[in-house]
Amino acid sequence: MPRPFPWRPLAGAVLVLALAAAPAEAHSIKGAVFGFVTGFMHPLTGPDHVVAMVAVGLWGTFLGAPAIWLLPIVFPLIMALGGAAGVIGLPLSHVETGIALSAVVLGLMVALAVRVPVWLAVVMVGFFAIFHGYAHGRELPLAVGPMEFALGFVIATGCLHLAGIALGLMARWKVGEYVVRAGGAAITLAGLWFLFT
Amino acid sequence: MKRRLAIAIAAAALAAPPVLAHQVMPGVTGLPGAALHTLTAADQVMALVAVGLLAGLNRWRGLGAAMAGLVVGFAAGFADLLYGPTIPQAWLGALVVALVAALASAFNLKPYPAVAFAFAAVIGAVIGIGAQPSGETWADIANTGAGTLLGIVIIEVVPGVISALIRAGWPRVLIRVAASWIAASALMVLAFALVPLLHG
Repeated sequence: MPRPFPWRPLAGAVLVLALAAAPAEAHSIKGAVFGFVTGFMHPLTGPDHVVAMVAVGLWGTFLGAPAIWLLPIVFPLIMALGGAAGVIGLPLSHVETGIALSAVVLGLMVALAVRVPVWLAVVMVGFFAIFHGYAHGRELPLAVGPMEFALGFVIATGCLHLAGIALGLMARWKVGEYVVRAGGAAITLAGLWFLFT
Repeated sequence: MKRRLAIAIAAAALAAPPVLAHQVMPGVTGLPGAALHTLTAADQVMALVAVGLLAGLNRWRGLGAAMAGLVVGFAAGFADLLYGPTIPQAWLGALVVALVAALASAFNLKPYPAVAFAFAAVIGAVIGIGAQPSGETWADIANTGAGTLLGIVIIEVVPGVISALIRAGWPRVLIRVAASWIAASALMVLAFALVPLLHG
């Protein structure tokens, strides 16, 4: 007997994404940067960040344990290294390109349901995490409350991972797998859009 | 049932509203004011939570050692504030402890009780050094000392007990994810603090 469709996880994921949704405005912070709320909103107001983070969660779900929990733990840590580089002012070129490429590549991994060894997944996700962290870190010196800003954007990033994982759990059902892989394809297309516009 | 309760507590802790500024609560003074005061310092709260989560990995031995370290460290720091020399940049100690303890917790490294004691002693001392009494009378000093100690013990005990009770499964993963968030935040703020040193 087939298992019932997971309406509850789906509804939970939709709710998380709805709460995380932000007005479609430019990904820029005008004026002073304030504390936790500003930090929390920073990843959410950048669609390039949003789709890449959701892709991390989706891919983690496809890969299964331990990647499903290892990626959301490792990503913030490596992202923080990139953020620290941004705060200190170390040079890193093509940051926006790296962020857009992360959406393209991670979306492809989901769309094609690519399974790689965990260490390779960690290396790939970690590589892209540096670009995401660097972009956030560049904003940190402007923050009135750097601790709260950092905490805000790290938590927002983590929530996007969790939303991706929640959506990815649909892949346990055949119809859900198609939906998730279609989502990966959409993320890749979005990444290409960010890359060439 | 226990697992659901633990998940609910962990979710409530994660959903707690952010601390936005290090200000004393308006209208709340004396011992309660001192107890609440630490809640307004995000770096100290994160360090306490990180040490609690880490100590809980070694269950009650670790948690007991951390509590002892917190009390000893706070007493030393508070005594230094009242009678000793000024220690510059002591607040950086909270960030370093937050980073190291949260990293260890994220990777599920069970600490020796002595390590839990040392981490807690450092953060206790940092908080003690910054626990400026609200007045000069003995009552003010006692209220500030006792209130702050009460507050920081609670902040460390709650995540410590959650960490000690939740040993496996998704709730444990969520704790490790939360620890990685603390470590990441602490790392970036440490970099932020180092900027003046690096750039003169």
